[in-house]
Amino acid sequence: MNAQPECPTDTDPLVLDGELTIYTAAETAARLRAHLAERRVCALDLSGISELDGAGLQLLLWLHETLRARGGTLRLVAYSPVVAEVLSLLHLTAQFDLDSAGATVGGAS
Amino acid sequence: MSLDSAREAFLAEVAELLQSMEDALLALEDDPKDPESLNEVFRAMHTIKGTGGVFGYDSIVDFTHTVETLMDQVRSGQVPLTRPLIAALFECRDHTARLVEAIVEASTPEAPLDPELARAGDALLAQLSPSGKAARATAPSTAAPSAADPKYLPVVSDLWMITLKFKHDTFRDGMDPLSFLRYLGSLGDLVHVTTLLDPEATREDGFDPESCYLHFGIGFRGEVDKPTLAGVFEFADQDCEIRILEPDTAQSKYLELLAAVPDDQVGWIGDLLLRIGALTQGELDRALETQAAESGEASDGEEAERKRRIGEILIEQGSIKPAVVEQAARTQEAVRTRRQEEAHFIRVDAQRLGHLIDLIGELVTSSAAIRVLVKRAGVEDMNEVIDGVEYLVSEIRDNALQLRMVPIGESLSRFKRVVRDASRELSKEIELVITGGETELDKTVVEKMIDPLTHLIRNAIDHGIETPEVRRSHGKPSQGTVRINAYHDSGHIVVEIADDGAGLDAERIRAKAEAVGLVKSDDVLTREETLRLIFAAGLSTKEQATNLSGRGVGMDVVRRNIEALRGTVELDSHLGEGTLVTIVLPLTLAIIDGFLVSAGPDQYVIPLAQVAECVEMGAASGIKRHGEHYINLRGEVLPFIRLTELFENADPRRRAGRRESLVVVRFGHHKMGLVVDALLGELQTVIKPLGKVFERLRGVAGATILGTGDIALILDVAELAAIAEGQRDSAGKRPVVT
Repeated sequence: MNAQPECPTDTDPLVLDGELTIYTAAETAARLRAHLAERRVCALDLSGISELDGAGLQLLLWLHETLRARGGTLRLVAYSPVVAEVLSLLHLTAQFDLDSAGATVGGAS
Repeated sequence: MSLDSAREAFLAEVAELLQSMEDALLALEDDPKDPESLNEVFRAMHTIKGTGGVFGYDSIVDFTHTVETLMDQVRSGQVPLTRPLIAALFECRDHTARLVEAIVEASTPEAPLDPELARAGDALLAQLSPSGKAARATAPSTAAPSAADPKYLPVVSDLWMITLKFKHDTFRDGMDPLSFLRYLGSLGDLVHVTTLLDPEATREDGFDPESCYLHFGIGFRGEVDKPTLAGVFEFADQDCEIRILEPDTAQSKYLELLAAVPDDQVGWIGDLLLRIGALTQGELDRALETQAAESGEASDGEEAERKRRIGEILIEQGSIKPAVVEQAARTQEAVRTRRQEEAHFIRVDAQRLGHLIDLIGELVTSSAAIRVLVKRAGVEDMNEVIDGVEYLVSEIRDNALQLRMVPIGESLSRFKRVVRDASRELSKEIELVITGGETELDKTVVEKMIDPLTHLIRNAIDHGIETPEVRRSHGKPSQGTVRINAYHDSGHIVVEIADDGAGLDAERIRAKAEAVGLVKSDDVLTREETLRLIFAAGLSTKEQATNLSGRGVGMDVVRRNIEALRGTVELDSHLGEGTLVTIVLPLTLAIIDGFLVSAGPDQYVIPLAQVAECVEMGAASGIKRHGEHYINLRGEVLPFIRLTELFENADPRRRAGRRESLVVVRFGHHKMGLVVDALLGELQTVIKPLGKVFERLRGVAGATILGTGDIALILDVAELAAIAEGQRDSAGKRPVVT
């Protein structure tokens, strides 16, 4: 997956795209760790995700848990149909509620 | 082609199962809801599938699996059991038999199935499939279900509770937990999913993104059984701790199944639970490991007490609900007590039994020989011993013969199918009534009797019973009845086949017999003689040959087959009222109790069961008349035969007027006298066939070897009766001089 340039502020979402799978998990985790270093709130834009597997999902859950442990939150500003499918399969749609402010589900069914 | 014994056992089992399936299907035709019969059909298919699988007969497994699935749906009421469906199931039963046959004929189990057979099977399954498809459609196969209905509150009772704890190496082993959930979703509804991370993951720096920390709790609803669900996660077995807990509904099903497990299949409680699908092999293995580990910890002395019950471990392990274990334990206990009370059955090779009976035959002869020797040597002391030995031998003989006795009903029940199929084919309504099915006779006799019986029954269906329209126009009920009745009568078994059909038209038989030259137009025949003509070769009065019968072969074959068994067949019929065929057969072919008599220089054996009484000749007055003998015995006129005249072996040295004895024999309702020179007493008789040379010899059923080494002829009372009445003379067979 391609890492987008650093996001400058808290509110700017971190954009992940391409594959979010076991093959990119270590790399993405490193990025997320770096990103989280001094934050309690994180926003993700997953609209460019083309593939999501268990490892990728686990990463999202971990992020969610980690932030919550700090009293923070994880916001998803957008996600692709691939992500929507997994979340719905696991009944996680409610937990990862989309940020109500203008989030888009790219053609999710 | 050689079959090893296991395959032979398989074939025997299949034959039995198919028979019981057929019986069950016949019962279902009367009562489509009968749960026992439904179970029987299911069980037959299920067991054949299982055993077939053991031998790798894939064609059988595939076919029976589909039928089994259907039956399961029928049992649970998802699919109604309609008449066409029952008909299709009959076909399926036959097809299974054909598949098994094909396997027997094939040299190897791997041999490809005859394409025609395969096509026939597919066609059959297609007949079943409308219902099959419907059932499959009820299990929705959407990849992402139920999320559409987030408000839905799970009703725990009808949900499968599945917990999956994936281990750290899952991803590294190339496994994706999501794929299992997707697959599970295709089997039913994931009503409820909780996804958790192992707490380890959230510890500071404890998270390795390439290790798996995922735990799932799933509430699942679908028409599946436990093994199916376990199968979903089979590949994850190494990487995942799996618990599957059945819904309450399934639990009640288990309880039913447990109550219904056949006794011979109850073993260890674990196996029992495994068998009904309440437990998977993996769960059982895990519990057994736990048990072994625990008992390993306990010191040797108290091991037995410390060892926890497997059921306890299973409950603790969360594999099963307590109620199911309890029921399993109850079933186990009930069977243990029952087993102790029940007699055991042993399957014995018929050949071994035959050999045993042969040996006993020799023993009978030998003990008779000893008796003669002892008598000759005049050792009085030994008589008592000999009496004891003979008593034992006769007991052994009776018991051995009893081993081969089977109730005739088992063989008769196959005719239900014959009648059912034939009446469909001919659009007739026919009921088959079997009585006296518990009557026992020698298995070898039963086997040889089936063909003639089949023929007679087909005749009754085809020629006898009329179509419903014709029957109604004659004022009869539209449903015809064929009755088979069996009973014992003086050492013989009598089988009657009666129908209430059209009956035989004596005039037509006569006309036909004249046409084919069996009788001349100026012959005078009684009604009975005319009816008897249908036993002659080449006579059929049915105008049009049908598939079933009426090709002009048959009745003569029936007669020959029955006579080959030393039996007789009689026929009585009234036009418009029906036909009654009576077959009389000896109970056994091997050994009988006989009554030894002498006439002239020879000795003869009369079957003891047929001896009514013995009278001194002088006590009655004999009147000779028209070349036949009649005697007046206490006011009853009896025909009699002087054996020395019949066999033309009168001893010239014997002076006329010496004392003679009369043996009164009965056969069915006939009674006649045999005049002999001396009565020599009872003896056990091993019947030896006379062989081809003496085939045409009438009045003699066989020979036997006496203790002295002499040979005595065994008299066939029925034939003697026929000779006495002069009936057989018209058939051109006269007694032949020995």
